[in-house]
Amino acid sequence: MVRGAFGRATPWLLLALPIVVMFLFLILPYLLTFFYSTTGATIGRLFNVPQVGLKNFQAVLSEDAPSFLSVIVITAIFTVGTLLGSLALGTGLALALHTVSAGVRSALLAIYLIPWVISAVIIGYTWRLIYDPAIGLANSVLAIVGIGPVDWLTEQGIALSALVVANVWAGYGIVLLVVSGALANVPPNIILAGQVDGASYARIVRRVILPAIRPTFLLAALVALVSGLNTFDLIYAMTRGGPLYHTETMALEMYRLTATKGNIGQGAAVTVILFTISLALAVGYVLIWRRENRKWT
Amino acid sequence: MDLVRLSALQRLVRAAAVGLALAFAVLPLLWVVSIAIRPSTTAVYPISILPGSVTLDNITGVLFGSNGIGLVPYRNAAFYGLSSALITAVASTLGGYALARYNMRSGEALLVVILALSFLPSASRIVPLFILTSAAGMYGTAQAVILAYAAGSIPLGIWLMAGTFRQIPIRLEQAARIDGAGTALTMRRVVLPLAIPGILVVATLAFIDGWNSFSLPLILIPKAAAQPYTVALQRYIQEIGYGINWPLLSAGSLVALVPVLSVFAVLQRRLVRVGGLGGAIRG
Amino acid sequence: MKLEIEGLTVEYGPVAAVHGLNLTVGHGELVALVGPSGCGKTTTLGFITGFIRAKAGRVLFDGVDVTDQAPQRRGIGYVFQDYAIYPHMTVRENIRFPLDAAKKERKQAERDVDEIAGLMGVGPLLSRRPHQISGGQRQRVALARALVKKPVILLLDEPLSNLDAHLRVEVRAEIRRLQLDLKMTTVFVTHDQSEAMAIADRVAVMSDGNIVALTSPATLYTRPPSLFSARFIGSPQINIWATEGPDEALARRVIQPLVRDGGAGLLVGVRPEDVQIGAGELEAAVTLTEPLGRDFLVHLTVGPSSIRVLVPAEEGQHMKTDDNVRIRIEPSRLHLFDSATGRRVEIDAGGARRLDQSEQGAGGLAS
Repeated sequence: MVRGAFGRATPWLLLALPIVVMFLFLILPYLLTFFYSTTGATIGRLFNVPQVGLKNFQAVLSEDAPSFLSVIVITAIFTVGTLLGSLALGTGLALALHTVSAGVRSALLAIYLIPWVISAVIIGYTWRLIYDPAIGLANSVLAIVGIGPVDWLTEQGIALSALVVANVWAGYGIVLLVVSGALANVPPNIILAGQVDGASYARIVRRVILPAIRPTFLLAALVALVSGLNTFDLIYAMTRGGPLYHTETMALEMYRLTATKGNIGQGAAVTVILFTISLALAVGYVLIWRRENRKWT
Repeated sequence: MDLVRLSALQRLVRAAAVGLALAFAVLPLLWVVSIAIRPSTTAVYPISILPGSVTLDNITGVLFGSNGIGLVPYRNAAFYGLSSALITAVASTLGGYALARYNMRSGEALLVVILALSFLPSASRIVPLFILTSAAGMYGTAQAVILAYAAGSIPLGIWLMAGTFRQIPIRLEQAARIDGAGTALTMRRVVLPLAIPGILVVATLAFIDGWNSFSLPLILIPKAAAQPYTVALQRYIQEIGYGINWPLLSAGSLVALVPVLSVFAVLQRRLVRVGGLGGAIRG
Repeated sequence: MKLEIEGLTVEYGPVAAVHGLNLTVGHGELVALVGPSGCGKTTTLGFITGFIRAKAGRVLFDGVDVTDQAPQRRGIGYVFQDYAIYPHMTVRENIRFPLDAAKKERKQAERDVDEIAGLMGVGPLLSRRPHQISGGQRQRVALARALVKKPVILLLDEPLSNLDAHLRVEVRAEIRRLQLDLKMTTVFVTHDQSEAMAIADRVAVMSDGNIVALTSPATLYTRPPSLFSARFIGSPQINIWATEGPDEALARRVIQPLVRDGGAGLLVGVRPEDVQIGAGELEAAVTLTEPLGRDFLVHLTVGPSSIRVLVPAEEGQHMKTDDNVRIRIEPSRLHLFDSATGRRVEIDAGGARRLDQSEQGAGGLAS
């Protein structure tokens, strides 16, 4: 290892800048959120706030319109739907691209990754346009085959699914990117060996390739899952949580309680719940990852 | 040499999947383009799939027209994004180097914690940041927003730079020292040039995140003149009496896409390679 | 199974990795493909397996053209240089994989696995994973996997390169014994000529995409058909002098008893082990002695020319640099090659020349 100019302290000096920035603008806000979740803070009253213990959590859990149960269910549907869609599309495309020549793969990858670099709000506006009853692409195409106009974002039963499609569009790119990278690192010889052994391509994918990229695949799944949980901009741009709270996920509820209702304490409580779930998922991932690693090293 | 030999049927299935995915990826954006370049009077029900006539009025309208948002929001977004990219690049390089080269007892744990931080919902930062910046008297300043962006990009940046530095053989630095070079020279002439691809990727990703950010500036920048396009374009959703002003909104979105897509096109191969690096690291 | 390759030409971009290659391997025969890196031997193997598409050429298994057949269907056993065993499966699952792919009934498949594992000596390792066993053991697993499906041909790509030196001799003998017992048609690729010589029925020497010699190891050593194969086979390398140029004096002197016409346009070769130091007509000066254990490699100069000689240690240990000695080169131990084409030249009793017509591929090179 390197002996630094300032001895043992050198690495910490180097880390000073990033740590300070991250602490002030990333960690401290989260700590503050935890603090505020046990207070009665409102937009009108930010300082000298009263301690209310777990009252905010109680209030959130017993909310009526929307009920906390429905928020959980909607969050679950949205998150799992996005997860499955992104994983399926991202992994399937990565596998398909793995078998084409490098030049073609490069070009196609560039196009498939475009949604990944677009702002979430712009994606929201884009899909809101697609779903627009009057001038949207969806209804125009349906009109060609004679199906009447559909109210994609205002029909309570359909809105959430419509959002999932839009979020899959936004999110499959990162899965594609990560899985493609992992596939590139699979030693080509074991894929050749699979063929010499007489296995069909399907069997090779199932028994040789996918097991080989399992750790990375799980990581991509975790990233997709957590980002689905935390999706805010997209839903805000498309439905604001409507129609009638039918697309209100926890992230949206957090915003509504904080900004619209003005109750910072309750908004913070929802954030804490959301954070706890994300943390549980991450811990679960690390445990699975450790078990996987033992198999390989 | 082919990696796999596929039957004709398998090739057909693959072509169909690739083609459908291509359509899925591209059509939504093409539709935005198509609305943006139609005369606004034709953007009504029922609408034809292909535009009958084409015009640049919406684009000029959103940038220069009386109902437009002007160039300022885009300039603001660029300013915030570039500043954040700069700070993120510097901080990530320093931090990444520290974690890669120094045998810190807490090194590995720190890396994992840092990565975990990037998992947290960024929208939930906004209210506490509002409170903190108000208390510090920084509310509404460009510095606050830029640092908020950077704080969000640094975790991944450090992780990527640590990976980049790990790939630069330490022997090169040792050889430079044997040749009599001091720390500064070694960094400047040996290490940093090799780290540039990684730094470029980190800076690009930070810029893209900053350019695309919505919820942070929504709360942290109250002054209309300082807002980025993501917030400024909101007005077309809320116009009273007209519903959504799709022609101008689409045009505004289109303009926003140009810088990101250009940057992406240029640096895409590097980004993909580093994305693969992330995928390859299992430990 | 009889293997035939006809007219194989493979191009990578503008470069031809293999051009116009023909090869026949008889049933139960072990042919070694040997040559320096980049000569096309692994490419040829890839073509037999079906991974590499050729610009031209056919491959036939027992007379049946399988060139367009997918690798999965060819029934080949292949051992990769890096073994390519599946890292996430146990040894048992690795060996059983080809049988699973063929949808063999599980109980019977397990019996086959046990049988081949016993044969290969990896029985006790069956429930371990690849990262838990040594390189040599991994290679046996790779062999077991290749053989479990009772392949029609066995292809080995540099199977010994990743093994420790002392293991190589042991393992190559095992592979040969196995191959003979099973009467398995085998193609063995290596860059090490001593391996090829040790175990092959015939050796195909490759250079720049062509087979420049195809004959038994014995013939390759005693009557190399080309300059390239003479140089490639045998260590230390053969001494070569041209009858035109700086070595002219030595070359012509040495072949004098054989030729009538003074020997123009020839390359003269003699192996270091075929030269005697002590009595003889040639005067030489020692420039360096290298102790090699059992032998000494002595570097000498005869006039302007240099010569390497291999002598037993008892002789070599007495020699010192700058010693003057006499050396003897038996005319019967000489190898002559045409300096234009590199092909072997035989001189008959009457002193006339004849280009060697024995089995070989496309022309050798005068390099």
